[in-house]
Amino acid sequence: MIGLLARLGCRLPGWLALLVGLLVVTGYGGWRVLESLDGPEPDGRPELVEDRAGLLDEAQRRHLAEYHAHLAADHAIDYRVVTGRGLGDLDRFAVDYVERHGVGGEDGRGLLLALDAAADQVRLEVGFGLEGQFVDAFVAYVEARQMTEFFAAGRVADGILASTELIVAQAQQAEGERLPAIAGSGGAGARLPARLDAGRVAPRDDRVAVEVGAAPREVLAAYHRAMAARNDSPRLEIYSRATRDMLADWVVTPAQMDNMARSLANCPVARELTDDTGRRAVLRAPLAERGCPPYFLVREEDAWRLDLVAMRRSVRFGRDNSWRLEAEALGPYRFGFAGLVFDSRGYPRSP
Amino acid sequence: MLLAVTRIPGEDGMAAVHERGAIEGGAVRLLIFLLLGAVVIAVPWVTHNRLVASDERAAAAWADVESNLQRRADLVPTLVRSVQEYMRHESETLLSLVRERAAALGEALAEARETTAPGRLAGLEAALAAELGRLMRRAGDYPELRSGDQFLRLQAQLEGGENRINVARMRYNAAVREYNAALRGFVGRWVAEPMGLRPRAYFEAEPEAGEPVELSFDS
Repeated sequence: MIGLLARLGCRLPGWLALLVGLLVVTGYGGWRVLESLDGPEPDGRPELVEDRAGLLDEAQRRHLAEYHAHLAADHAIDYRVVTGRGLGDLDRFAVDYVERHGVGGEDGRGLLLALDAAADQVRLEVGFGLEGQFVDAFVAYVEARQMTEFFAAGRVADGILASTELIVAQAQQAEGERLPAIAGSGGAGARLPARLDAGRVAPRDDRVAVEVGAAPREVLAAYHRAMAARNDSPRLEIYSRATRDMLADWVVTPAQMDNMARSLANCPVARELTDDTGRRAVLRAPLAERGCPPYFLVREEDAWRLDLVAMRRSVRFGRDNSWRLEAEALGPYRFGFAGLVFDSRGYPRSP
Repeated sequence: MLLAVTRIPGEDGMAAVHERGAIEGGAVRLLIFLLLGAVVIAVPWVTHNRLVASDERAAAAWADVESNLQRRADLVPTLVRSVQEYMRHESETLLSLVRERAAALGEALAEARETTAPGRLAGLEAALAAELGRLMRRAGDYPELRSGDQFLRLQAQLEGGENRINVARMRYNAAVREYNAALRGFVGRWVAEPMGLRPRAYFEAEPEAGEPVELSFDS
């Protein structure tokens, strides 16, 4: 600029030229600093899981980040997690964090899970663009009936992951409903006690009504009743011995039981198949109902009982909640699927 | 500025240097005058634009406060109906008090659309929040109500509403702070006067906020 002025025949006094030069350099430097403060993360990618409190190990952190990256790819939801100790007013912290880190982008499609280990508080902040899908009551339900149940058992990563599953299910229901929204969040969501390592509450009831000599369908109906009543006892008589052993170490949350009850209510039994020995049974819903898995039962002590262990080994679910089979793991329950055709990944093909 | 400097025949070298310096000095003075002129026009213009933008931001933030207050006032009848079912033996006084507070806030909001009165609204909101807090604490004493999902839902809606108001309050007060500071600035006060811009009030409860509203128990 000074050179240009000189070429134009205008000569400035030396001190004035120096002052102008300094102003230009300082202004440019300041602008660059401000730009770097407001801009995206240094490597251009947001950190999806920021574990300041050290509650997660590296593998768990990476697994959560991958899962949340899928959520972003499939449903355009930017879900971040930040843990810390002494984060201050957690409501205020969440709003500020969303704003400062641009969680959810220009459409406000962001979720932020803020967990303060010292204050034993957890907050799920919902961006403006997702307020219609994830209302405060739903968020409180996810936190109270799913996430903190795992936190109480000392399983932070599982609690976050299990909550994300409910969030995905909700996002699937609301697919296509997008309202115009602005960036950031306005305080939507819910904050609840995190109950970190608080210990689990003992099941209140070990019984579920089932008649002597009940048929497999009736045992499944009893299971439906137990889930609807949120009976999380691992010792119910409708479970096989192996199932009871497995469930003894499990965290079964009220939200999982609600989901199970809903699923059972919407899944009619189309076929009841029993093997040649009369010791095993498979209950199948119509194939078109891809979210309705088959149920396996085993006969023990002269009664039909649910074999959730065998089901866990051989029935899997895709990200869209459709069931598929691990054929090699079917073992004695293979008879229940004779005549059906499966694709290479184990999804049944409609005839 | 672009005047050609020519040597006048017969003058010595020193005189030429003196003359060249005088012409360059004139160019610098012209430059300074032009710059000053630009500053005299630009500063009030920029200040005016900044004040208008700040005023708009504060108005938008206020609209957000109002909608959140309305949402809270609208939630109360549902809330009272829900807890009343369980709190059958509870005195009707507390429930009536909450209803009256919500009605007062709703009426004040309707008035506020004519004449914005943040202080008064903040007071009414604080009073409603206090009574709702009391109601929810009392409701929490009923195990049947407390253990169910309905109480969780009510609590979430109530606290969500309260948090939204807090965030909207924070953003409105920040916008007002910025606007008022611009208004009281060295140039701002000269520009604001002819534009009729006045300082905005913060959303803060007035001292008489805790005073009870008049109650009627006929509902």
